[in-house]
Amino acid sequence: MKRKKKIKLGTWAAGVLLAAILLMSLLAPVLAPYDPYQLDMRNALAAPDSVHLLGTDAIGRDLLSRVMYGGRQSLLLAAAATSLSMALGCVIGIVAGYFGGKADLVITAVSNIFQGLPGMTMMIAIAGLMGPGVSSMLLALVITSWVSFSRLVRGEVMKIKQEYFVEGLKGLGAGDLRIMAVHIAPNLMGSILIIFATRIASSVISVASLSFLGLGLQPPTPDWGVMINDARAHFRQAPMLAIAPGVMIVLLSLSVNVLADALRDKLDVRMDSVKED
Amino acid sequence: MNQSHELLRADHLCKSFTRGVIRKNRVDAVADVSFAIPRGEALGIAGNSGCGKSTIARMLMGLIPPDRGEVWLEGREITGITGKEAQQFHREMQIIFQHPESSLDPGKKILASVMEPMVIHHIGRDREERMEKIGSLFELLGLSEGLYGRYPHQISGGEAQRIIIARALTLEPRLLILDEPTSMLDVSIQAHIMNLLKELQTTLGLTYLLISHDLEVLCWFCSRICVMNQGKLIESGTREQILNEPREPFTRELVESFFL
Repeated sequence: MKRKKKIKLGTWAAGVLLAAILLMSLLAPVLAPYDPYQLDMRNALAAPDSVHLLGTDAIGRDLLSRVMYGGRQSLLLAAAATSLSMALGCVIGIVAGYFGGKADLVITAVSNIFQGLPGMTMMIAIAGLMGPGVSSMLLALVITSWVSFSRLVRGEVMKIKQEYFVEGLKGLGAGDLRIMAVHIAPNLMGSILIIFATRIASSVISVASLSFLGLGLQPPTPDWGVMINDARAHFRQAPMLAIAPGVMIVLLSLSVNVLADALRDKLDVRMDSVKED
Repeated sequence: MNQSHELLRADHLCKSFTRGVIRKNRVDAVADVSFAIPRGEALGIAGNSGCGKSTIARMLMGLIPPDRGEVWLEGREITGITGKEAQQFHREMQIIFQHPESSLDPGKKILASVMEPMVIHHIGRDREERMEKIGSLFELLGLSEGLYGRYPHQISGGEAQRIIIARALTLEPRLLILDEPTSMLDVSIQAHIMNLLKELQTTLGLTYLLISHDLEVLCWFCSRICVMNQGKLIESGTREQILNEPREPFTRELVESFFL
């Protein structure tokens, strides 16, 4: 019994938008009109015209090319950080939910502490301790976001553990590892996917924020966060310097959020109607 | 009844559960229950819901540890064993639960679920050999091979229960514990499944422990019956004894409620 749900127009638009952003980032070396690192001091802070469609920045680099390149690192970083958090959170959550008892008590206590940490402050502290850069940003993102995965996974596993089929498998002689990896983990896919999509949107924002604060990606890397930071000194003369990367960040996180919501609506329906009479 | 004659023996099994954090509330689910099942026979345990029948089944299978008491299979104690030995006894003794539809992983196709125990216990050399075995068991239980590719929510309760029986039989157990195997199914399917199980008793030489609240089914299926009430085994005997000359007032009430 498959109920076909109509996909909303907004979801379509978000999907097309995200695909366009991804394609643009992926194909930036081919599509960009100029080298994003190419200086041209005589043309600094040029207004948008037919040569430089979005104008140039304070040291004459082509803004359009830099915007095109600007998503590459942060998208990759956000995806990597979210995947790492997901892996860590899943393992911890499954162990806590499946074994329960003392293991669960300790893990829940630890994750409560991590959940209480203010995200951005923690990230700034880690970047400060380890020095700004890609690896400290990755660590900061993972430390502040694995809890949202482990909490959800723990709850789901506790629910699945009550199902009769788990007891049946134990009766057949299946080991704990087998039950966790072969039977419980695949049943979690839907809910993990939803959290993954939601978290990736906030990771994109976090990466941009840290880079804006000078704690993430470093200049001269073309990155939206870094570019907005660079634009602060000049944005009265050349507002496009801040607007263009800003719009990109908004569009990216908006489209990912809309898609995540749509995904949740779709998967929740399927999960509720498992039983068919 | 001598030692070598009996397949499974439960000795003084006890289990209590505590509820509540501040004011502890102790419930004796099973209190000092002993019985033995002779090879090739069917023993029934009768009792109302909540009397501890299912707790006994779970203790026999090693799914929950007893507080006190022992379980013996063919003269070997199997209480609390783990690892390789536990694997071996899982092959000799299997359990069929009450809820057929939810006893199968909802995300796996039927064939994968039925194949799994053979993979766990390294039975059969390759996929073909396992398929062959599943095929013959499906035929024995009157199941169509068209069910292989279905998911558990796409099959009926009666099919699910027969699939679960087939799955247990892939391990070639000598003892099947049936914990209310048909209480969730409608009457015509109940009879069909109980008939099938009775046939299997002779064709495969199986020994049964049937746990049920339904005295009618028990009397038809089992030669000996134990009656439980509130965690205690209050009376046991052959089915004629239980039916015709019940000693305990609870047993008399139970018999009268079914046959008068």
